[in-house]
Amino acid sequence: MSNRPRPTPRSAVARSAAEQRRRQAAGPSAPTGRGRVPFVVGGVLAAVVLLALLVAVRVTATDTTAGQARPSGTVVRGEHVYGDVRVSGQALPAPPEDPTAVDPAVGQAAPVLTGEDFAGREVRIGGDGQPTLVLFVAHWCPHCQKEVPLLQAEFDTHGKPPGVRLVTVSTSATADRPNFPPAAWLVREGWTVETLADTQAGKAANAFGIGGFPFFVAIDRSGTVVARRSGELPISEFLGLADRARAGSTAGTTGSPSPPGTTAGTAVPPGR
Amino acid sequence: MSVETASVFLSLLALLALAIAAASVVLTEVAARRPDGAAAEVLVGVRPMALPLAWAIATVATLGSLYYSEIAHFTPCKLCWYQRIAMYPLAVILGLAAIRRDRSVRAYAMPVAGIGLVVALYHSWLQANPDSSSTFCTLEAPCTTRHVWELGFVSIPFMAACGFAAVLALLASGAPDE
Repeated sequence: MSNRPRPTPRSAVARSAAEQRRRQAAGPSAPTGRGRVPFVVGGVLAAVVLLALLVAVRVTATDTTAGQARPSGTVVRGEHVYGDVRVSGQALPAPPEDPTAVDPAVGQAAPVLTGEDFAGREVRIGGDGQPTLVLFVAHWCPHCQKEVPLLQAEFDTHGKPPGVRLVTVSTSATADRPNFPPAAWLVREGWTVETLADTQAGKAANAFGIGGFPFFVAIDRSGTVVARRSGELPISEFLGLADRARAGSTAGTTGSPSPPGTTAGTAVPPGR
Repeated sequence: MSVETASVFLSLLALLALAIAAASVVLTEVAARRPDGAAAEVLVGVRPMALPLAWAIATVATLGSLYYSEIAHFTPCKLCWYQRIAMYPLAVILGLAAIRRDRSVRAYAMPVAGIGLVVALYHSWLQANPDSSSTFCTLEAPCTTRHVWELGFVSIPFMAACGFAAVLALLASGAPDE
């Protein structure tokens, strides 16, 4: 194999000479006319990127101080993310995948939870002889993010459903998911419902066998589960669940939504 | 830089990419209709920038995606991974093509960017309308979770869609014989 350099093809030499002549004719290195366009466009783009960075820094610096205000009326306080939870009683099974199937948890005794809110104050769920509606929420879930303000607007306008204790469980909190921490979110929403902070492992959620977010569990005054629902609920169905907790009916209830204002086989007062 | 600041910055860059895509399409169309007009003249001037600019956009999109998963610790969902599969190779092959001034890369890069754009648009729509797929969240990382929601419409997949659209438009702006 020869080490001699490969001769340059004649056509390439001609092209190179032509290019050189063209450059000499164009004069010194300052680009002119069409050649200037990339520099102008590049300069404009660099300036816009720099401006975007400045705007981002400025806008978020303003937001940090503006987001501290706590809406009046909220009962959510504290900055804890997780809390200790004690469970007494048997855990509920997971809801059936088919939403029209009979929920095996209906008719079972709900586990009693003892835990704490975001400020470390004790919160108990169950065992107090009150009809109770428990709402499990996850801060990162867009459906929970829609449901919470929907319910709070209802509470602000018409008050909470009478004769039923409402409790929230903040569960599945994860720092690497959006809208963290949950306490800041609920404070921002002006959430006026007492809230229990679940453990990092989701002990409270597991005890109630939740299968998605948001998740509702209606418990009657005897501590028996009368209905469970997952997903966003319109106000009428939320009030229907509260009615069922108050009425305490368990006969033939399924996981599917019931017509507003009714329970299975039992007429209840219509929702607002 | 906080995650919030980075998100606003990346959102503005995404809108800039969208503006580049729109300008590129308009310029190419007008230049095609009037080959002797001013648009054609400008297009000839900016054409050498198309490949480097497409590479820069794909690289910024790749770095932004890695920032969200590795520094902000956002868990990528299934659709996020499909978009990553389309965007990450673009950052490499467009860079090589820009160095080699090899515009034939269009034949390989445009289908990849096109697939990425379709997935990103679907994912953007899903995040803008989370109720369209279901009314509840599963316990895993659902595709409807909005890690970023700036200006009322800019999500991470929207940013990706802007990036794919800009890459496509810039690659399409080159003369077919180049």
